[in-house]
Amino acid sequence: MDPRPLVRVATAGSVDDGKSTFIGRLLHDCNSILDDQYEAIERASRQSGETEVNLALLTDGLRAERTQKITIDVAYRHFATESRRFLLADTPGHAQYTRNMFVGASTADIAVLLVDAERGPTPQTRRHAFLASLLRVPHVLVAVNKMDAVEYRESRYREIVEEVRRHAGALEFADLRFIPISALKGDNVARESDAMPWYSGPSVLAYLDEVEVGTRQTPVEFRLCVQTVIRPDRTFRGYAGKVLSGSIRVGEEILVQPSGLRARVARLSVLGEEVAQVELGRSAVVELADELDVVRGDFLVRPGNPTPMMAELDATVCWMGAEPLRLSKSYRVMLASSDTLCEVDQLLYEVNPETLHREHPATLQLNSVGRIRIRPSQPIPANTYAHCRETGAFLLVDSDTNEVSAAGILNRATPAEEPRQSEALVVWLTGLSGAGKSTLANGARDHLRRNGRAAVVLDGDSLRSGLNRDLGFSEEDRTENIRRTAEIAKLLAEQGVTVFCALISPLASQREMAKQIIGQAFREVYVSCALENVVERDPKGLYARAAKGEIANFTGVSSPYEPPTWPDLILRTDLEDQSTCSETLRKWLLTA
Amino acid sequence: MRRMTALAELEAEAVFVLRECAGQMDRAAILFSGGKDSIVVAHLARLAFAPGPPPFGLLHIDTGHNFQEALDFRDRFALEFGYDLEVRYVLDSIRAGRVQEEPGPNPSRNALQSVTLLDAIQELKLDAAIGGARRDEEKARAKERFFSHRNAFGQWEPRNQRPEVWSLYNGRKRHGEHLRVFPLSNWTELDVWEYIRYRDLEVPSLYFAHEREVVRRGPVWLAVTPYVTPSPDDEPVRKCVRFRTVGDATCTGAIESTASTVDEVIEETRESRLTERSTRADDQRSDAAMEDRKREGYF
Repeated sequence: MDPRPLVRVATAGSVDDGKSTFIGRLLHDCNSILDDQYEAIERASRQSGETEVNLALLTDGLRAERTQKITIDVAYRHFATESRRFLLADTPGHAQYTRNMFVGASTADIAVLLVDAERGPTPQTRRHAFLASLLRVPHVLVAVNKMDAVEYRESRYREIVEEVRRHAGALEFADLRFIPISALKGDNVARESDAMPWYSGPSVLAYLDEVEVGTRQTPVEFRLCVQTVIRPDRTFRGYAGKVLSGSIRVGEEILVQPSGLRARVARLSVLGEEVAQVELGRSAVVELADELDVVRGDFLVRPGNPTPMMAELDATVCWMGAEPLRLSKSYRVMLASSDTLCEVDQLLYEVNPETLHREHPATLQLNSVGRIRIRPSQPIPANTYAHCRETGAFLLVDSDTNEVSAAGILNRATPAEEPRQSEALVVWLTGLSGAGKSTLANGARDHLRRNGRAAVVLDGDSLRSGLNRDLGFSEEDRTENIRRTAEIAKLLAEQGVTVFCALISPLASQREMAKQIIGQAFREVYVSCALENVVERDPKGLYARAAKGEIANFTGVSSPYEPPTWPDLILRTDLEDQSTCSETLRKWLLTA
Repeated sequence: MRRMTALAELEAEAVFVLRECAGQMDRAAILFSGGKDSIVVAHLARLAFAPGPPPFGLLHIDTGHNFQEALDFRDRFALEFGYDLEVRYVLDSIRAGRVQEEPGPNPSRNALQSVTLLDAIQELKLDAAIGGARRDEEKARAKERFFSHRNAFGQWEPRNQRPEVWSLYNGRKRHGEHLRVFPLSNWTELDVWEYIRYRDLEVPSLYFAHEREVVRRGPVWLAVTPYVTPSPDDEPVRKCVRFRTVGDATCTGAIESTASTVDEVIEETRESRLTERSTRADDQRSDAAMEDRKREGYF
């Protein structure tokens, strides 16, 4: 058998970034356009009065696409190299761009975002980067196209790389790369280019061929969601489903969710062949030693490591339906093979994918992204999307029209066994010294108090003058400082006091520890400010002293700051003024 | 851990889709013509539900212009693997006045099949029809979904398809509507042949090189059959040919070939510089021929 794996690639770009030309060029140079296809587009190019063969016509399969010269729907194409086969999802940058990009990128190993070198990144580039980050596409490549139109200038390429990186700084990417190309001339698409001696990296094709795709990252615990029950006669009852993560062996005990029943695995088979063990990705049939009532949508897991049962889903959704979101209307959540009636309880906010700002509209419309809270009619076994793509992604289907209303990813869940979070939260403000954490915390505390709520601020400086007087600024001491603060915050929150912790807390691991101590009530707020700005502000004169070497281990100067990857809220004190940030924080507190 | 090979991944994906179809639908049938793609689908269904039988029957829409080899194969296949086979005839639709035969000599009933198919779906109360169509076949098919929704008139609305995200397939529908399910969406012609070799599947002899009387019609060689009579200008010739697709004899062209085994066919397919559909006279009618037929309910 052909040993090559199948690698899934999604391309995205706005209308004029030359995406279709790029794909045409890639397929053409990989010898993946067959003679009759080439003749057909040659003919079509002539008919529409073009002088050169328009490779873009290759992907425009529908009549309306060719007449309007735009791509409307996601199209799939194959191409291959010596070592890999590729399935390319071409996602249009025109109508329904967000929905289409979501569809194409949802299964992708690699996303290729095209940027026009002449025009630079557009709002759509920012949108595509946001979606690739949200969907956690493992590899993202920004192809800076039309380099021929800017005389192959390195300076222009660098400018664009910087601009995209600046925007990407607020997003999370596991792997973000850049390649300068000209799809029109073929530079760095399938072959390396002589036109840009200043660039020594791979061509796009070489990159696609070399990037480490491995097995998609999935956790080790066993998860199988029953697709259908096989029951040919009284003697046989098997549960068919794909192994979504982990593996299981014959003889092990399994737990059925949501019923809670248990039984041993009597036999396992894959496509008609009996096996001792099934692992990730296999199409299994599981037979149990006892006859249980198991139906489609049930999860089979290990009893010691069950899927959390979600009584409430906190999800980020991309709205795909023509009908806008309606609260208190019934929808269905389709997750793995389960299908559960639900209502959307609350629209927390909409994210503007271009500015990443949070907005508070009355509803979500087609192509918008927002965070909602869903209440299913019964708890659903699920994980967060970050933990496992297969058990943390779902469709929201309109139960009246059966149309897909939204695609969603689970952020966080309120497990069914635990009571709903109490009113009091611990709001953890992290950021560089001088970013404005204490000012914002004090403002929010005063606002809550004016509304009759108990609230306190735990400020790094004031704690250090008393409780934490014995601690210095080494990493261990800073961690202990955070541990103590988190413990106190937890005690206060449990008694109904809203706590604002204003601490630099520079390391992700430290904040993770605080989150572990505090639990459900923990909310992370990133008070973000560029280093240049805080150095310039320097309210306490500390940066000046640190620069002279008078203060050791000073965050941002001589010690690192790790920005949070998925904070609950970001406040940009370098871009927006004090009162706007305070207002955003206050509004957010209403729904946090 | 190493990634699965492409073919193993495609097989698992197809099995997953077939199981989703069985789990979500009440009554589905595999559209079976005796062509290689439908043979692969019917074999995958046997694997997906083993040791039980596939929860689907076979449905063939017979234009009355089929190759005898394919019909014989179809009947043998159903018998050997215990599939229920339903056959519906385009000729019956013509006689009932549901459709009209094209005028002129050697009419093609290819486009007429859609009506017979939709009638059969209604008569048999099917809520899903499983097909072997692949996205690499044709540019309109490249836009097709795994689960493709058809309204109560059986029509496809390519501009407003249901979004398919991750591997979540929404098969919910209203009464009278149905879905077309395409488990081989991501396969190529070569994958189908590699799979035939890997699982050692039998396919009709038409797919292998044989001597046959043919006439040139535009870009393709058509076999001389009762449905394709040579006109005075035609010069029937004997050639060593094989078929890349097996469908209605009035529009399925042969290619000159000496490939007489699966290995040789794979070799030839790998080196071919023409698409599989280039041998189909029905697709040569216009640039959007396939899209137009699909909108009206075609396979």
